[in-house]
Amino acid sequence: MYAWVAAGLLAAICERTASAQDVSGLEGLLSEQIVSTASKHAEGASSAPALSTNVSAEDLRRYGIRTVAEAVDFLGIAVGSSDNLSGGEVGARGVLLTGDKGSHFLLLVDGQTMNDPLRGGTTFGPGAGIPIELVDHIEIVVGPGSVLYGSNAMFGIVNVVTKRAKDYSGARVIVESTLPISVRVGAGAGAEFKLFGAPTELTTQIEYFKQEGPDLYFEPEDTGIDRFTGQPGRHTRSGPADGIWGGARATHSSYVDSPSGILRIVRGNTELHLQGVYYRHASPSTIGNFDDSEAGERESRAIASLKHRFVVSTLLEVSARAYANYYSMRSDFIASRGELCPFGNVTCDYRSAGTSHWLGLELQSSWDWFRDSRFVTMVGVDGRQRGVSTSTDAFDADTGRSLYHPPPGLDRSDATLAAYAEQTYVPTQSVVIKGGARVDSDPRFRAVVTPRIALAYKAWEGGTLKVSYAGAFRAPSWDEANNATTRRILSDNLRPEKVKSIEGSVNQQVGTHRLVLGGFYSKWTDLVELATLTEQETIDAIRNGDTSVPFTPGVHLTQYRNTSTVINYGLNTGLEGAFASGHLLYGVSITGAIAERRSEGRSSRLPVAPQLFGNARLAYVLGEQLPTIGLGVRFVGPRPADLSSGFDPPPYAPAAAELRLTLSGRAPLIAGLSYRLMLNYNTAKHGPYVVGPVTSSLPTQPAAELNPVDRFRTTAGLQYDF
Amino acid sequence: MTFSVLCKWLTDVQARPRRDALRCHGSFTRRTLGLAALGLTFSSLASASSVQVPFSVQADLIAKVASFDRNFGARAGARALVFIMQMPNDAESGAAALELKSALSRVSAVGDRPHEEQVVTYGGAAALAEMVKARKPSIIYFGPGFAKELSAIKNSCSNASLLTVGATPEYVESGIVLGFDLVSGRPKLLINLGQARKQQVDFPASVLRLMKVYP
Repeated sequence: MYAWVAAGLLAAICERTASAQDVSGLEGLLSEQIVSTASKHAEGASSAPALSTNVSAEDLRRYGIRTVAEAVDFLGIAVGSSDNLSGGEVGARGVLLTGDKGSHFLLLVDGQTMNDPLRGGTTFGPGAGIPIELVDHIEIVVGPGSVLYGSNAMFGIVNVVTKRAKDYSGARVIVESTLPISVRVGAGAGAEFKLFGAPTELTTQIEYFKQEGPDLYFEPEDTGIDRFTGQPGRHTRSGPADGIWGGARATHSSYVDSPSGILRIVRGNTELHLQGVYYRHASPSTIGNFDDSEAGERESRAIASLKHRFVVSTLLEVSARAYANYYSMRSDFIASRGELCPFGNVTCDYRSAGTSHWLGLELQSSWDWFRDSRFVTMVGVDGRQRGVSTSTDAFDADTGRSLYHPPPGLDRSDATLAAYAEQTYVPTQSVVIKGGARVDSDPRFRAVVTPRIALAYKAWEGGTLKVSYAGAFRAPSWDEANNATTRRILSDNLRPEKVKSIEGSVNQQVGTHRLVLGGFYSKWTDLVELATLTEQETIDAIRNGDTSVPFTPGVHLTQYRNTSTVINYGLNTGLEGAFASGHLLYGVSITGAIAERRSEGRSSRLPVAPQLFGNARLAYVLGEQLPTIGLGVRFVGPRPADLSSGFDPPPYAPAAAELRLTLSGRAPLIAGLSYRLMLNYNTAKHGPYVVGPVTSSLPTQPAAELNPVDRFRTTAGLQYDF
Repeated sequence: MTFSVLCKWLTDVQARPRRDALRCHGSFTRRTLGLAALGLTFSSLASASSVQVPFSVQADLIAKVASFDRNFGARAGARALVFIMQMPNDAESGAAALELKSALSRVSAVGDRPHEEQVVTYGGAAALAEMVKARKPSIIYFGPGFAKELSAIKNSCSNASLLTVGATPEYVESGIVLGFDLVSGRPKLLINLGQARKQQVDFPASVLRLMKVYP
């Protein structure tokens, strides 16, 4: 009797186990991430020719993510942002290039480039104008990616894929506030309908983000005697000339205004994408006046593209994409100190402005030679007409009187052409080989060739080995290569920055659990940096008429130069998955990387970039009407501050962790209403940026002051779906 | 000869008898002109929604999920027969059919059984019903291009023991038993439960839990 019962139980357990294993196999297939950025066509992430990960819309909501920067910080692998109080910066694998304005990452929205045509920059923060509710997923491709995308894809590519109408149907309004400093209001809609008899879908969202604060406290910095006036410097428009910058809360210079909108219409195989964003933000941490509300930047972007894809035959598929990108910016730097504003008792407003655009057409074809996807050639060309105009001026901030003759701005236009090809070869069921190259022709530089070759080998059940070699480049922007401002002289024969990288990884999928373990070695050359001229170089520049700034003691001039090389190597790993039938979700990623900057025969650690960083997360989905609890942590190891070479000992930002607890779900009693509540805490008091006018040690101020961190915030958001 | 081969490559939408170079040239010209007209009108082509889940992933999912169908063994017998339908004169449909056939051929078993897949040109709902009756396929896959035929296909396949699979999510709402979608960068299985019952497709609750269910 007992033997029969035991046998029955054992059989039941075995059957249940077998069934569970089978279902877990199916769950594994369903949890495979599908990526389309690395190769410009859909494929499994494990066989993509680069480290590719997806951040899902569900994770964005579960972990209280509000911007793309937060998405890469809390949910990405090997990528991290750093808040410089002026829009933020992003790096990868232990390299972060301060002051690059995001120009080493290529940011795409539905495949459309967000990097601007003037400086090549972009922002991953609220100024990106990417409504988080409309995001279906974010693809993060780490490693050089110029082979299919051209300039800027040096760290990698972040492609934000918006939702299709079926996943965003109906209308909704959103209000979210980080109390009490910011508010975001938005309205979005999605619809499917017939247009001239063809199935058509539309998705759109407009939103407005406004931030006032946080009112961070800046330690006082004593700049001592001003070398121009011989008196203590003045750091506010109307304040005393006491040489003290800071020593108070910045209540006027920490703000953001950013309305934005996005519209996507898909009819059959034709897709129209329109996007616009205005981004006005200040920075409380510049070397100019303390807490001046007029200091900051205003940026406007407009992007339009029309894409059509058609299958000519079983052999050939063709797509065409016409696109346009418009960008304008205005930057104001306000200074009253004599060294920075040598015109007596006035306050200078150094203003630089620019507009730029490009119009382009990309044609791409895919040739499936044997009609079985085993030998496919992709060939594309991308032609682009560009235009740019800039101006710069310096005037009395109070009267508007021009202070001296400004240098001539740019008013240029030209055309670029690029061609690329990539071959995919699948010799066996378990091997995928991809190899290709792209040639970019730019009249300002010699043509740049960027190759990539990658091999993915499914070595065992659920396991894939990948090795790849890839290159990327960044063409110096118009602003860097061809523009001068009152305090920055024209660069001299800048060359494109380049990076070459070799990497290998192991991907293992077990049910819903996915492990990625990889190693990489990269070499960056000809990095463009804003160099401060020596006193002799400054004198020469003024004497040669490279600037109209009069020579005064302590005057600083700068110039963009190819100055350094970076050697970068390390390991990155990521693990994610789910337990309890998908109710308990987890993820963790750690990157350890060395980045060594070599310049003029000296070697130093790259500032701001951490050698160890990563994130971890855990969420529990209680059920339909109950909330989801998500806890995300991002951590960075200690890192030297920027400008650290000017101080002894060099300032370091301590190791830090940022924790975010999120509660999200559907509100009870009111159908269609959902909520998010977030608590955010940062363990660090200071970040890795030297703030204020003291950028190197002074007798009156021997130590650097680092940027303060907004440590604790509460965010609440509501969404109502009609 | 080379031109002839190239021409065939460019024009071959489905398996057809070898043509002589002249006829091929004519077809090439017609297709080229058609392509130019298509380019001029640009958005005049009202094609089916593009397939979002890669065919290799679809093939893996079909092979796996079929093994959970309680009636699949009886339906398939010793060898699972998979028909991959293509719409005549629809290049996208033809390309999708060949790509899925290639992907399925790399899968060792479909529903735990050896398998054979054939690309079949769609000849109407009545012909489909006849073919189902005569050849008893275990699975029929519909790629892009069938949006306007779904109602007729649904009626043709009802009451047959058959797993119908669609490439796009819209097909499932219209009566295809199983379909694929891409949500948040991951594949999703969709099932039309009512049609599944009519076609004697029976998945356990543990599998249905992983699917988006249309009643």
